[in-house]
Amino acid sequence: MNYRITKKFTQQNLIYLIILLSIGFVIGIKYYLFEECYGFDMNDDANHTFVNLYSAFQILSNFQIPQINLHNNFGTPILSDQLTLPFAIQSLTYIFFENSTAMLINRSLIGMITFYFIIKYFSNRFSIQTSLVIAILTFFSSGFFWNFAHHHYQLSLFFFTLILLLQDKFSIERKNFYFILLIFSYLFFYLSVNIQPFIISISFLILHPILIRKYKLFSINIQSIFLVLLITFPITYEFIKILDDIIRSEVSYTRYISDFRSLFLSIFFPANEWFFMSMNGHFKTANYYSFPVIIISLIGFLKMITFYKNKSNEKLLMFLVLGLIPSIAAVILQHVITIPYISTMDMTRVFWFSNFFLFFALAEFLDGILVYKKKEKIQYSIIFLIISLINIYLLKFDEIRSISFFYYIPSVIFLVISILIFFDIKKIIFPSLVFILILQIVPTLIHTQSLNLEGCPDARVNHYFNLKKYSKFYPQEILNKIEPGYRIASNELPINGSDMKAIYNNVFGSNARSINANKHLKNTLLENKLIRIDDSYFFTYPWNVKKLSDLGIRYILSNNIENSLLNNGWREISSFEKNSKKFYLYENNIKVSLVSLKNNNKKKFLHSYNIKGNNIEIDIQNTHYEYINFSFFNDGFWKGYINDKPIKILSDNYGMIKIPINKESKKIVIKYKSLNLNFYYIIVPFFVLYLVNYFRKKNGN
Amino acid sequence: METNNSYIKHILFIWLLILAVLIIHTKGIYKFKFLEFNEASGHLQPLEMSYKEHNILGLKNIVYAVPFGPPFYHPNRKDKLDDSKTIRTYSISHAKYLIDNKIKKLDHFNIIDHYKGFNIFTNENGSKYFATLDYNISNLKFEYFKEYFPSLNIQELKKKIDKSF
Repeated sequence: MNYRITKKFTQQNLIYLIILLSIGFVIGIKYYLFEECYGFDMNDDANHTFVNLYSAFQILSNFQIPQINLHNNFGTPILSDQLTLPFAIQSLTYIFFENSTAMLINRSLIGMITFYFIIKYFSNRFSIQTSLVIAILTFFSSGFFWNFAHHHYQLSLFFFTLILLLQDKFSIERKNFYFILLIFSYLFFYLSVNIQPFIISISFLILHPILIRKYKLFSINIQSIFLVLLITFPITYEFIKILDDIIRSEVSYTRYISDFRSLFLSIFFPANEWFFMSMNGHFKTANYYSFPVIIISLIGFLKMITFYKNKSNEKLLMFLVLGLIPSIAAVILQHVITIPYISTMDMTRVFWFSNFFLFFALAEFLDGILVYKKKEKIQYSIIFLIISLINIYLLKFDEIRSISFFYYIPSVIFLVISILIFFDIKKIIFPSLVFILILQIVPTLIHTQSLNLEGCPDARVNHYFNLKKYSKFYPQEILNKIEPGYRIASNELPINGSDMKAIYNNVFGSNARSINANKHLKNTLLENKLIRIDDSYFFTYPWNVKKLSDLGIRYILSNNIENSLLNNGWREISSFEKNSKKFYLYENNIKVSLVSLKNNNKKKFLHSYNIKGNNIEIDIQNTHYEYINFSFFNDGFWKGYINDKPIKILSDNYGMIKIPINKESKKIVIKYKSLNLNFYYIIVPFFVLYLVNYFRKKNGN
Repeated sequence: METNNSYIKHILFIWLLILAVLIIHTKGIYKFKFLEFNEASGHLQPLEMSYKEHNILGLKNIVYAVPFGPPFYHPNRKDKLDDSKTIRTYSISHAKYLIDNKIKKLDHFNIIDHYKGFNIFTNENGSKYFATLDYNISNLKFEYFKEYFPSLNIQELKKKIDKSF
């Protein structure tokens, strides 16, 4: 008997292990299949996360809290940057491994652990076989899996499921232990995941203890969230303060699909396969659930209501309150109504969390599929025959006329299931259903990872895989010609991110790619006709060389021959050509720098200054100049000091830092201080007192 | 349902089978036709809004003149496009001509040939040929949805296109 149990257990563990390893494989599939493919995204990862993390680590090495990336777009805030998250758990990997390797390790490892957590959560409620199926559907659900590629979303389901598991396991006897675990889980959840999914998930995590009827846990859960929000308040405060000033606040997530019919179809067939125009990123498949998943869930839901028992009461409530209602609300907010601020958010992210509970109905059906009375088999057989026909009916819609044959497969399988039920061949019914359900993640995998595109062809951007050369500045030959410590602007779309990636050679970039790029700076540069708007913006012709010098731009990188620069004294110092890609590097005829002294008609560029973390220090002697200029944007967080005494910082015509000086001015320091650390003098003692009091009370002292 | 080890093995088998198919397809060992999913392309561009109670829009190679009131229907929904009296043609100027002259025929889109990044058309009676820039082609010398190289026959038009390079 014992031997049998051990054998069963070992077999199950082996199956878990194989599935988990295969999950890791799927996440990095192109990396393993093609020599040239590396697991990172060129835009959000290489141009944003990688460079900002590099900057954050540089600042940390100066024993300062990373607050600004000086090398990007005249300085962009880093601590509240929701694509960087310097204190995230997954950021640690970047200390030990090269960027593209770290990203792949994170994706695979986090993917495998998250998947394990999801199975564990479901198996507390359903059979293991059903848990495995819905775990696959949850993890590879199109909205989540698309975004899972990125640093700032990778740990969202990891922490969400971890907290759900902690809530499940919670016992009154060990409440102190769970309280501490919850505090740490929420804290690292906050630090490791973009604030938007964090906030969305909180509402689910608050309601979950109530629905599982652990009312004592509800209060402990709320207290943990409260304490975490309190201790992280300065970061949230900085984020809220800059929110109105950032370019992203002007961007609305476009409602591509506005009519009910298209919305309805996009649930069954990925919109990017039949919609009349292309869509941005994850919107291509964000609504996609597939016909089999929806129809089986619907039957499961009807079954839950019809055979309502006390036991299924909890699952039904969770399905309705945490699954169905949030999903419908998200669809309405995303596609139907526009609410200020909410419309700047992508509400399809609600699905990442509501899916857990939506699939309860599907799981309920799967667990009961083989339980039917003999006289009911004709009913079931007819139901599956009708389902098979409904799928064919949907495929007759004009919009999806030329859709892949793949979407006819459910009709065939449902017809087979109908026959199997009729002839009572129970053994094959469950595997057939599993097959058709798991098969539905294939379109998501193919679209998300561009699996129809062989290898990683140059310039065909995919956000899961890319060529290694694009993880750093490309072409490296050009970067080697640029003197470190000076500023470059590149006349190319920000998605290429050249000047941002110049940070690795201590070269300062000018274009905007950061999510925190300041809209006032954008407007000033636009008024001066220096930039063109794209994803964010980039410097381009008509080149006004005086203005470029004013901004301390010494180099221009362009894909074209820039005659207007050449005619104004600039010179081409390097060029690069490979496979139809051309790069030309131009140098200013004035050796401009990031710091200059200025009076009415004179300007002198200084080449010797110290950058220490978030601070810039410079020593000057007996100057007759009236101002010192720093080519960094004054967003209101900079503090200035002359001879260690605080002074007021002004802005020049471009919004750059300008400080009045005189002959007495010797040591000038500017410090970026967005984080109000004084807050902690009040909060930390309060936090400690709260905890001491909590444990004292609970222990009855 | 109780946990059943044989069902777990079935799931493992199905999962690995799907993975194997994906590997074979992705690696290009064998391309499964049913896995070659479409990818929508193009953008709906407002070309001229409020022209004589019509909004003139461009999508891929087609110009749509949508009368005020009805929405823009999916191009595959021919019946809805007809019901809403949406004009489909090849250029902005031709759309305006159809609106100005209140021509009842709605579908005027009929590419007869593609040549060096241009779509070739003929007018209703076949007396004139001309070309528009294909939406997939980037050529700064030409604008999309505009008629170029009016000619009396295809050969003459193709020669004009050749000359333009």
